[in-house]
Amino acid sequence: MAGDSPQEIMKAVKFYCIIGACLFGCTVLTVSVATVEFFDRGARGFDTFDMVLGLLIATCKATLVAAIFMHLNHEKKMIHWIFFGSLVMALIGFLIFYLAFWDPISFEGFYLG
Amino acid sequence: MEIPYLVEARKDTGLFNSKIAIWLFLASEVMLFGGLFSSYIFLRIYADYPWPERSLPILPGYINTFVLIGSSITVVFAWAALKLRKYGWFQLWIGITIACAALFMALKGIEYNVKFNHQAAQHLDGTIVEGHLSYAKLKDGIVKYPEHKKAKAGHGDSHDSHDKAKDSHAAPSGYEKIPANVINFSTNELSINLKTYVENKKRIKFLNDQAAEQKQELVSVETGEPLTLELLDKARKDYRANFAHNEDLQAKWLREAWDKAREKDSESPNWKLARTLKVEPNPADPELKTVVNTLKFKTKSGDPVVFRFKPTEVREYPESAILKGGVALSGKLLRSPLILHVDGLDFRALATAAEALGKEPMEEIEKSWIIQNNPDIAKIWHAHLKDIEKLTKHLEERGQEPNEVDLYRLNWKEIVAYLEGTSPNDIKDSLVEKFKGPDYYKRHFPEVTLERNQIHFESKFTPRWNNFYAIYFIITGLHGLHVIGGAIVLFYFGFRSRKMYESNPTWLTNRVEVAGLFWHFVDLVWIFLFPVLYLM
Repeated sequence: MAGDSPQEIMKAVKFYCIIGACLFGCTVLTVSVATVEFFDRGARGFDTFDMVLGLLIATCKATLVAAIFMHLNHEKKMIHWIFFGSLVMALIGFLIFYLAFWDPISFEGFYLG
Repeated sequence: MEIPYLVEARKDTGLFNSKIAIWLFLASEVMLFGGLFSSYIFLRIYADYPWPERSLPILPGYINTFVLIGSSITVVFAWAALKLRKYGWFQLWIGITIACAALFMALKGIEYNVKFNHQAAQHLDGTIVEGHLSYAKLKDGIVKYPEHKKAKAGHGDSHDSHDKAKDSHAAPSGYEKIPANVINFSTNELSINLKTYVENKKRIKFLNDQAAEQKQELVSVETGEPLTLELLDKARKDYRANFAHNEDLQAKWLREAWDKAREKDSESPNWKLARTLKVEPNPADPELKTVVNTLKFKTKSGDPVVFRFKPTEVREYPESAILKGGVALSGKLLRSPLILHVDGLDFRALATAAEALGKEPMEEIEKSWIIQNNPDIAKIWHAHLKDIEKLTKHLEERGQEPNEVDLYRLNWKEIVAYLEGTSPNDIKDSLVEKFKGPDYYKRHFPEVTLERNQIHFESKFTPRWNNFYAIYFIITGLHGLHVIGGAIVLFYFGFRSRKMYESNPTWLTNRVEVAGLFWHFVDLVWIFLFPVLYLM
């Protein structure tokens, strides 16, 4: 995070430019992985490998934005608890679909006969 | 009273108040978008139709990603400029950020418009046809559809298709051009359901249940009498008065019956638990004012009139039609084809159904209605099969095999190329075509006519088409609203904050930092949205 002196702020600005360039590069990589045949490993077209790779690159980009641009790397622990706590809850929410496979509610006699 | 801790940090948290507040807000936003992403996962895993993976053009989302990342950089530059007390530079960077937001929304608007003008239809056999609506001609209320000579199978003439496509883009003099997707219904009688008209004074709506049989005319209407608002208003007032009278009577009998039953068995503890009490309205029938439920109107001469409706306005049947507003018509459904210039074919649903029945998908596709009845489509499909053989050999070297999209879905380049007798690799799309889809005035597409009784479902590419588009528009629409909201806040801080900068620059810096946090979050959401919706 930028300190208060002009030198520190200018140094931070240069760092933001580097991170911005990394984000642009990761965007190009994301699209290349999805569209260029050379990167199509595993089954043809979209498969689990593509999904994992795509989300991994997106997570790296998001981490750079959150840590550097949103200053999370310098923030107090309270902010970390607030943000990452909600992130964990959202990730748990992604697993709701699993309830269609596993029904936690059951009682004796549910299935007749 | 001054709000504390806007500039200096609180001793317990070590942060100024608005920072904690914005992070709490962002936590709620994480839950909001997290819920929507969770819905996407659920819809995708349990979709009972082939999911339209990688069906969106990538270029708009690609450009928008660069635009938003760029705006994230400029907003942090704006904050740094404020820290350096350079107000002019601050305003410049905020202005560029807002320009990026405007560009993002403009590109999104173009993208949405392209989808709203793109048509899709599913045939009864499961074949999905995508394209742009052709046009019909309208003169004196009569719709004229283009007639096509049925060429022999395998001898489809691309020049004929091109000429017909050109014809359908223009209407000759004296004719009006209308989209070739209207419901033509001929009737001389229509009826309006009064109950829903009464419940909503401004519009007539359809009601599923019909009340008791009419015993008495509520409003006297002569055959051929024109339908006027005054007439409907009179019917509405009479209906309400009679309905209220009936309700009062029934309430009175209910109370009397309840009191009698209670007198008979006043000691029973069950009075507190009783939920229903039957009242026979028949003894009171003569006292009831009969409520007339429908007003019927006929044309003056008794001759039928042809109505034209949009497919979304009406549910049509061979001898009746019910409008969205609640008007029922009895008559005859006239020929109402849907005519498309086809730029996409999807046989995946048909192939999946064939496999489920233990049949060979390729054989069933060969027997499909569209290939049997449209020589251009048959030509395209057979050329595609030859290319599949080449693709299979190429993929074998990589240890892969063609997937369902390769086998059963044809995109616009393949359709154009196969119709012209060339290869899809020879089709070079312009930058605008990469963004908006094919140029319909430059490219040649086959024309397909689907009769109304052959259509299982049809829609533009809107939330109505399937739940992929529903979740796509919800998520991107909500994200777009966040972009607009963030841009408005940034505009206020960038161009209405001179006084605050001069009186308390640190406070303004903190506020801009907080607004920037929201902006980065909007960018963060898009970082996940783009690959999930466009690339997976």
